[in-house]
Amino acid sequence: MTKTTNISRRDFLGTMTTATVAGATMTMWAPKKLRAAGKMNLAFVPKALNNPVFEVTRWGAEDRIAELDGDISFRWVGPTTTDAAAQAQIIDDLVIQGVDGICLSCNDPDALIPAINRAVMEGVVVITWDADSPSSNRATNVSIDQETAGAEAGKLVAQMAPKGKLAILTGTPGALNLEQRVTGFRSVVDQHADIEVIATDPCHDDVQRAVEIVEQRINATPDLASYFFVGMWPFFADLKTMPQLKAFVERGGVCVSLDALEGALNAVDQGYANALVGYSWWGFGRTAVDVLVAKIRDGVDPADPMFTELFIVDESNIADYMKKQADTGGRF
Amino acid sequence: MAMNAQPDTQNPGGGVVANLWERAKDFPESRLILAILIGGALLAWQAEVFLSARNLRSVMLAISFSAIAAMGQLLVILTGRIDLSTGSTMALSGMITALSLVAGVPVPLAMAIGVGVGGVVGFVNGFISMRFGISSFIVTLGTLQVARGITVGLTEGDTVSGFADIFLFVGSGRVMGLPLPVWIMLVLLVLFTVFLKYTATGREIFAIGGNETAARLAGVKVSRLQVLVFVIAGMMAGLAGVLLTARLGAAVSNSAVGYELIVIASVVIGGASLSGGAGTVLGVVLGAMLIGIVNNALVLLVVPTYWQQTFTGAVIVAAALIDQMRRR
Repeated sequence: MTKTTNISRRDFLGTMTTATVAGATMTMWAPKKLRAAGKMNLAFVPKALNNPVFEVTRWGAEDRIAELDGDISFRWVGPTTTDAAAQAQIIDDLVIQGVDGICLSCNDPDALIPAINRAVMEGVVVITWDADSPSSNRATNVSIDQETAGAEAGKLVAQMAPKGKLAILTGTPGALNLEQRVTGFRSVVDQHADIEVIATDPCHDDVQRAVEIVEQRINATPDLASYFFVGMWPFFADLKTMPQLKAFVERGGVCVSLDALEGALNAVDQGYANALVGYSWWGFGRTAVDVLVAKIRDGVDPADPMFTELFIVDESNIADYMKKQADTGGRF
Repeated sequence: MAMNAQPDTQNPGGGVVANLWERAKDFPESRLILAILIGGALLAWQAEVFLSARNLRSVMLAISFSAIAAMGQLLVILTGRIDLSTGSTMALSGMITALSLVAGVPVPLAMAIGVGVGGVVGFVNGFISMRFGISSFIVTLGTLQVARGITVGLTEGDTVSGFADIFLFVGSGRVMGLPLPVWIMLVLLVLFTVFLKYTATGREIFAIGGNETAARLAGVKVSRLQVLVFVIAGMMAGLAGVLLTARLGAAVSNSAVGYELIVIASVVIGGASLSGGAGTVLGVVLGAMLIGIVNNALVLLVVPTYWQQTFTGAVIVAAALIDQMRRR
């Protein structure tokens, strides 16, 4: 007995059209096999495509590649939102496509180990920037010493507000780099008996929540002496939306933040923050390209880790940094 | 009669209270209001600043965005469906508005464009879901990704800012002591309540959720109305996204990530049934208010960083339980 299936002409045409469109799209967008004789293929994988700080690293990498001799291709690929599993899949895909070097900022230090190690086994040079996966076989980590950065911020706070109540704004609880910054910060301020850490509020990397928390924390603590932002989340919002932060600084409160990108520089310039502990996201990109090229082309093993220098921005030098920002568009 | 009248004669105050309590029990949102009042009182007891005008304004402002989006979500849930694309629609609408403003489009037009984009996302959700009979859960899960992807793709993850002061005023400027988004939320609360209670279309929305087949047989144009409901939900998410962008003075491509969960929780805490046919607009606003107060409590009570999500989740479950007890 033969079973027959009736397919209407409309269903058939619909299916064929869908298949054709899908096929054409995949053909158009499907990345070509990258590895080709004489050409070096590098890929950078940020934690997420929706975080503007990583874009500055992208500029640095692209700028450095443009300066270098040689045929180097560059790909910027990552998950839309922070997702370690998606990042691992991207690394596997890049290996299949034949990249020579990968630089990634890890969404999770442990969850990325298998993917990194698989890539290294396939002969791909893998390094990390910003967030590391220290137990993996990556060649090095291009970053800052997170604890030292936190400690520098702690010194600034202790110097400017040696006593009184202190609040901390952090991002996602458990994020390794943020935890290290807080550890470094606390290692300094906890030595000052007159400084009382009253809260560590997490904003979960959400700008809106960060702005709300800052407002509510300042409201709730009229005698707050100092505020430490572990990252510059509130400064991604227009500063005018945070009049209470400005009032807090104007009445003698101290606000110190990590990161010195445009919004944070504006905050110091306009009186919303007293000081920043900065480092070069643009420099990360440049250094990472140099490390990858040296390792792939000449087999040079990089130092591990490779920490970038920190710099302090405050009222004494903010004019210089604002000029630098204006002159370079943030490429420093 | 005499037995009923006796307590009033002996204890008139107690009778009035009992009478009020009897009436309040019939009021669908009574327990939620009671929970908010008790929670607010406890919070005020622990942190005086809770009742300060400045703090309450901040809380109300934070609530307004999720409440506005939740009103649209309520309509979808009333019909027995769901919209998971709310947060991404908010981000996309906010980003399109921001890009329009930067391109020199006047503020009212740019805002209208943003709300319209939300409506388009809603139309796509409703049309695909109804025309092809695909579960709204799956369709909106897809548009959640598409809308977020477009938002990120348009700016390559960058933040867009530098708007006129008038736009910032829309996001947090005060009118008669309250932030403008709060007024918008209150106006929408009235409009949506009137729409659902006193118009034929509103009653038809309840009818679809109650029994879709019966509604169809009764002559309700279910598909058309369902698409309209998704369009309204998209527009409300769009409006919330535009206001949020005005609030921050910046369009951030990762804004409102996960907002759909807050919005759906607001609707459910507010007494709506996920299977459709039951829910009120006031309940939704109160649900959003409860979540806003919980968020405020995290700051004011200095809830330990690593336990905050547990605290928030427990309160949401407790609120849902209280509402369920009322139904029984």
